[in-house]
This record gives sequence, structure tokens and C-alpha cells, in this order.
Amino acid sequence: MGLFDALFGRTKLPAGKTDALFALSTAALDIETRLNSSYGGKAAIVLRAVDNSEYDAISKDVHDLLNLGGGDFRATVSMHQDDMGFQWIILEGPDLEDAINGLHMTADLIKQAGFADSLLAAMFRFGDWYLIYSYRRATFYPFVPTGRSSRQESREFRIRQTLANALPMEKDPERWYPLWDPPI
Amino acid sequence: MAKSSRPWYGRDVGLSFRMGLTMFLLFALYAAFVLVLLSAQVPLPTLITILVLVALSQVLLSDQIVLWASGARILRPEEAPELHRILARLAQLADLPTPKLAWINTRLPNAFAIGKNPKSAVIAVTRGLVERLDASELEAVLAHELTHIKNRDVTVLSLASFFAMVAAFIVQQFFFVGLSMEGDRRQGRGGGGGQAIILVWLASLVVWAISYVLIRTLSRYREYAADRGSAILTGHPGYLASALQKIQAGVRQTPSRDLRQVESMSAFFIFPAVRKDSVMEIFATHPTLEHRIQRLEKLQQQMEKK
Repeated sequence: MGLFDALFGRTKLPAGKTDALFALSTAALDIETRLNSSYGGKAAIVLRAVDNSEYDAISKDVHDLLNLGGGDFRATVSMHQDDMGFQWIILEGPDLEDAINGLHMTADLIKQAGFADSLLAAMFRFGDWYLIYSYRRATFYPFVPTGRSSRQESREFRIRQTLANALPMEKDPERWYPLWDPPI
Repeated sequence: MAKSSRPWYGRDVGLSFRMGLTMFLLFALYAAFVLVLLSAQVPLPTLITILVLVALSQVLLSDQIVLWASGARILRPEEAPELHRILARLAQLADLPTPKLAWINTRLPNAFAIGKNPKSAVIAVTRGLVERLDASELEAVLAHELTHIKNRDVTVLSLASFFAMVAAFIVQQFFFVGLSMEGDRRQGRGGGGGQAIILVWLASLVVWAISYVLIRTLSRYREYAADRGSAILTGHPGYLASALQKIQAGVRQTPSRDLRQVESMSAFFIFPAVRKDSVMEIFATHPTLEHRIQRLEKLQQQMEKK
């Protein structure tokens, strides 16, 4: 949102930037070897649920799309609505590559339905920590929760350092928005 | 049929136009005012002194002072985890750094946002607000305040009121201004005489009066814009509508002693801390509750229709 929008008080949410998500495929090796973490089998898209009937149709489409993915695609889909009014589309399966592709297809579907601006984040579990992709900023950041509202910042900084070359990491730690109590 | 955005949101052409018109009128008024001051030959040192004094008073009325005057205390995340959670989600959605949260210990249900830029912004909520509202209503209020931050309303309104403050200063400190003009004339530097002095005073009075109405009009439009932003961020215009209704009921029940405590803060609040509705709307900092609810309902219908 530019200065002009601010001056005229227009609220525009930026459309989600989905493409940088694929960088994670190539960074997977770094995560495995240099951080000694492997994919925890769970990933999710977090999006703002809005008051709109068309929106309900999307969740059905997502189900259909991912289930029709065929035999190559080893992941199951589930939905979760958290107590803050955000929808989680959760993919469970052993393969990180499948999760990345599945989440990308899902995000595309949401975009096509006209809800690109309600895409908040994609979240991937790696052992006891998470990698979060921000659709707003097209960057990744680490999230190491140690409780319901505490996180281990020193480790997050180390993860950022380690992955800085492999992934577009968010430089401003103020934008490392926590996603507490993730259902994945 | 890939659409990059939903058609119902982001645009309220009428509101943007009226906001632009108000800002243009203010600008024209101020330009005329400066011309009058220059043509009446107000001595430059006097003029510069006034401008510096007004600028200083705006800079010195910093966020910290407003916070301190309202009796707010910054909350650490662990003191109000739920509020911080909601705020972080909204900030991520709006692509803003998460503002700090402050707490005001009063029964009056209200909230305000300050900060000249998003990095230093603070959102203050009162005890009454957190006690009365449920989670989704609180979220709507936080989203309203976040939109004020995103729209840089503190900066816009302090810029808009700069020359209004100059005019008010000249009207109130007229003795000092008149004396400097008279002194200039006596020394034969061509300063304006009696007529010019009266002209400057009258012009200042007129600018002060007109800008008062224009600034308040602008302030009301910014409130509508923030209401709209809240509806877009939460996805539910109804949350804010019900929050505003509860806040109004709460303001009505608050003892006047508690209201007086925060009266000077009224323009900052999401809802004015005055009990009378009889004040004419054009002199008010906020639109009436009825008008705000109407707008929110209209937005709700637009969202349903899509």
C-alpha cells in the first residue's frame, strides 16, 4: 500500500505472493544437512476466513483438487478453524516436495477464486521448529515456540543465518510474526 | 475468471473523493492565509518565530507524552497473550510491524492508536474495553486502530492542523503580533499599520474557524476509513458494528468523573468520550454511531453480494 492509499485512507491488502514458496525445494537439503532437521510431515496454509458464501465452496474445491492429485501425491488434507477466525488447510504426508506442490496448488485455487489477499502464511514443521512463508512479503522466517507464548529467539537467529543463502529469509525480525499453537 | 482481488473492497470512491476535497480545501485555505500574512507585511522574524513555536509544540507533543497523559502503561506480551496474538495476526495481514500494546486502567471502554510512523506505533486499550467486548469485537477494534496506523492518521492530522494552530496562535497572541508589526512600521521598514494589523487578525480568525470545521470533517472521514479497514482486515463488518454499540453503551454508563479524566483524549479514541449526542456532527471528531453502523451494514451487503 503506497503513500497515496494512506493519504486517501484506502485499505488494500496486498495480494499473496505465492511463487517464492518453491525456493524451499532447493533449500531442503540445507535444512537436512546443516540444521540436522528433517521435514515433520505436516504443513499448512493459514488464511483469513471471510463472511462470504463463495468462500465455503473453496474448501470443497481444495479437497477435490488434492484428492484427485493421483497416486503420486501422498498427502491427506484436513481443515481446521482456529479461535481467531483463521482457516488452516493442513497437508499431512511424508514428502516435503508433495507438501510444497500441494500448498502451491491450493494457494493458486484460492487466488483464482479471488481471495488472494486473505492468504496469510504457509507453515512447515521441521522437528520441534517451524519454517513460515509469508505470502505478504514473499519471505521465509523461522519460528521456534517453547510454550504458548514464548519463543527461542537465539535459535531462530541461528536458523536464519544458516538458511540465508538458500532461501529468501525475512531480514526484519519484527516481521517474524508468531503463529502460536499451530495445529500442525 | 481469475480475479486478483475481490471487487467489493478497497474502494469507496465517494469517501476518497470527499477526503481529497477536504484536504484540497484546507490546502487552499492555508495558501491564501500565507499570502495574506505576507502581503500584510507581517515582519519575517515574527512569522518565523510563530512557525517555529507551533512546529515545536507539535513535535514536543510526542507519543510518549500522550501515552503518559492518558495514564497508559505498555503491556509485555506475556501480560496479555490473547490480545498480542490477535494483534500479531492482524499486523501480519496488514503487512505492518506489530505495534506495542498499552493498557489504561479505567472503566471507560475505549481504544486509541498513536505513533507518527508504524515502527513506533502504540495501540492503547482500556480495562473497560477488554472487560466488555468479546474476542471478535476486540479484534475489530484492534483492526480499526491498526488501520489508523497504516493510514498514518496521526501524521496526516497533525500536518493538516499546522496552519490552523498558527492562526489560533495569532488570534490568541495578537498583542505580541500587533506590537511587532507596529514596531516595524515605526522604524520605517514598511511594516503594515493599523489596518494591516486588523486584517491579519481577522484573517487568522476566519482561517481558524474554517479550518476547525475542515479538520474535524477530515477526522470523521479518517474514522470511516478506519472502520472500513477494520471490516476488510477482520472480514466481518458486523464485529466492529457490535463493538461500537457496546462501547457507546459503556460510555453512557461511565460516571462523568471518569469521562472528564480522559476528555482531552477524545479525538484519539475509537469512540468519543462525551455523552451528549446533540452536538452537531460537523463539529464532531467522529461520525455518529448511526452513520458508522449504516456504512458497515452497506459494506456487509457488498461483501455478501460478490
